[in-house]
Amino acid sequence: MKRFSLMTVTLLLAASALLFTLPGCKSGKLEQGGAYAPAVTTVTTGSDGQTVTNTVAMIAPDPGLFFADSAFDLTYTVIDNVFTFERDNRLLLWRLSPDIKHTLDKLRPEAVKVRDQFVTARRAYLAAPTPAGLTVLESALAKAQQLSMAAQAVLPQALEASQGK
Amino acid sequence: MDPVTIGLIISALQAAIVAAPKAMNVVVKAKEFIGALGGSAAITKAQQDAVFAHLDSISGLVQAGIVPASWQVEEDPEE
Repeated sequence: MKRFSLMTVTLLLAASALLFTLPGCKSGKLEQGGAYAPAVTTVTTGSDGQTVTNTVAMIAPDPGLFFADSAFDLTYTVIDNVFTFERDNRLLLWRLSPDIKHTLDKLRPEAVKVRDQFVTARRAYLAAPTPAGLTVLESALAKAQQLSMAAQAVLPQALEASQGK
Repeated sequence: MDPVTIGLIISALQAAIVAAPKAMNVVVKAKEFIGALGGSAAITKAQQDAVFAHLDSISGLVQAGIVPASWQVEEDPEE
């Protein structure tokens, strides 16, 4: 019973792990005017009194950055949910298994490190968008995704272990 | 079943209920992400802006040197 209730939460979190096995197809198109496809819209009035709206792309859309940001957004949310869930329910989880906190405590400093690495790489890429910069960004993303999967695995593994005792 | 076990089960259920909206947030984001990867429809301006804004807020935390409390190592609870 207790296994089921906690597993429900962890399974929902673990569902996102499926994403990390998806191939990196980036087929989505970016609507003009969004943060990753900036555009300028001008409205002019012709001699006949009719208004004409023109939307012109300011720079080329950047699907690479969108997918890196989008994946990191999800990864960060998963990590944050796992850490917050453990902290909000610390006493209960501690009684189930102290290993849950101890294992997550090993991941916490690493999570801060990979978060900072991604943000630093992103700032560098925004300042000078180059293919090499995007590769650095994707490398930081991969580290964050690995950590996310490790964090998600902690609760189910600890619960399995406690069931076996 | 002893009262301690019953208490643990009730607490676990409460924890799951509290965590459910947060977990749903992950599921919604995951669904959007899968849609963006494989969908034929354009990723809307609103979707782009939401992702960019969240990344900017994370970037702001890093620049300000802020580490959320749940990301910090705290002392073990007393036995």
